[in-house]
Amino acid sequence: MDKGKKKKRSTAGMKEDVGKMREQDALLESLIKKEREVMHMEDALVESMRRFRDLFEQSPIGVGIHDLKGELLMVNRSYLEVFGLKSFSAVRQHKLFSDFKISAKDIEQLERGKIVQYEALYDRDKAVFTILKEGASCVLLIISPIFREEEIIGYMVQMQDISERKKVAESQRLAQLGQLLSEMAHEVNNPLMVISGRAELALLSKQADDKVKESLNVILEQCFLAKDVVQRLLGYSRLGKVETVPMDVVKILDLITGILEHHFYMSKITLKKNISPRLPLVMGNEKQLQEVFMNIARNSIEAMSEGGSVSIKAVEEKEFVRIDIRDTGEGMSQKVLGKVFEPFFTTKQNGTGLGMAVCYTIIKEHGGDLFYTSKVGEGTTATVLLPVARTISVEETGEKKHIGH
Amino acid sequence: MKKSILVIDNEPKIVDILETFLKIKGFDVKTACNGEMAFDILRKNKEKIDLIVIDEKMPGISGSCFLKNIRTLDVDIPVIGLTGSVNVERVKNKNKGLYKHVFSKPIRLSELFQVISKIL
Repeated sequence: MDKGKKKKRSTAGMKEDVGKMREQDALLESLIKKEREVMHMEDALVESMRRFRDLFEQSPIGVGIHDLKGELLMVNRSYLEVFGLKSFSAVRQHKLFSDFKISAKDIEQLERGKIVQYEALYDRDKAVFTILKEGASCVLLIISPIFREEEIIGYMVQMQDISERKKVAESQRLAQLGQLLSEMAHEVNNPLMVISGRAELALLSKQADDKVKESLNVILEQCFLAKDVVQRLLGYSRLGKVETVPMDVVKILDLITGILEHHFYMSKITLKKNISPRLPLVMGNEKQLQEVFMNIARNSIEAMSEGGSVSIKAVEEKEFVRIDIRDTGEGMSQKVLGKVFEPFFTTKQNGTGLGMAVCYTIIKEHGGDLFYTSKVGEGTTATVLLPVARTISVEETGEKKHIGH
Repeated sequence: MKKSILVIDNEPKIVDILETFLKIKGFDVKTACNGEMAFDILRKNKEKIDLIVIDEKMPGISGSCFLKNIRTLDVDIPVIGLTGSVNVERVKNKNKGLYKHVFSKPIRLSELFQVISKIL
């Protein structure tokens, strides 16, 4: 450096230094500011991530994320709850395109970027989505494509267990149906009364000759047949809360066989009873059980148009009383057996097809079971299981109380 | 002396049938097609009505409602109920003791007569 410039530099140099310091200060400040900004951004990012994770994790709606091939990547707690499972590893096998019973049409929609929604039933025992079955949870599934800039990068499944909601809707529908049927019954019964009343009055008239009287009697008979049908229809609509009390099921069986005794005789059907002694009481609703056994008995009679035999067996089986009603009638094929409890299914010309479906519901509501076994040409056995009324003793009073299962 | 029956049903054809039948059987019959009319008749003929036959379900006052009201008239007339839709058991339970008998329509007139003969 020049010696001469040294002197000049001292004042100018100091200014430069100060300037440089100021620059450095400013730089430092801006660095600090930037760092703070970055920290804020990081905080904001972390906060944002936390929020989304909370949303995802804590959503009461089950959510599962799948990749394009349908492999499951990630799920939240509620998803696991729908399946009654505890960890991701238990569900990781879930494949979007095969396990959720999506229709081909819906898959097409998804691939085109549309959202798909439907209800499915989840069978907890078999751990699969299935068609309507006892013991299944009803799950609402909403499947949607996940987009990133116009391209589909995966799929999201949202699911909600709506079994409760469906039960409520179902019982509301039944109540409405019951109301409707009741009104219609009234509208039918009044004209029936007019028809039968007039026929009866005409019968009283001295002018009626024998032929006319015969016609009038037929009219009367048919009116009361119609009345029976309406009564049964009203009976079906009244299913709902079943009040059960401890009772002797044998009494009901005796009542039914007593009522049908004449019918058995006329149809050349012999009756055998094999009732276990000291059979315990069951929890039952008298009227409803009468309806069920009457239905079963009538079906047996109808299956034996050429005569035959009916044997009734009642034993205690674990926590149930098991009643088997066997006939030697024409029997039912596998196909018919599969449909026997379907509403509106009947093999009779004049059947309404409601009988067995109603009976099944009644027995199920009793906490029991009803099923048929049959062989074509050999006969059919109807089996009814009813829960035993348990007795507990109340220590203090020494009283025995019956409680249901 | 002829016994007197009050028949109440909002379906005129049914009232007609019951009236005709009961007259043939030797009763004096008064008719009404709703609760108000029936009330009126009752008030004017308190002593003279021996039996009431009434339809449970009518627009306006229902049969059971009517029954509760006639208690205020201080009458103790036996009542037979007819119902077109509601379960006979339910009607009986709802109105313990108010009805002497409940029939569900359509009814056999001969059966009605049997029950009436027992009451009167």
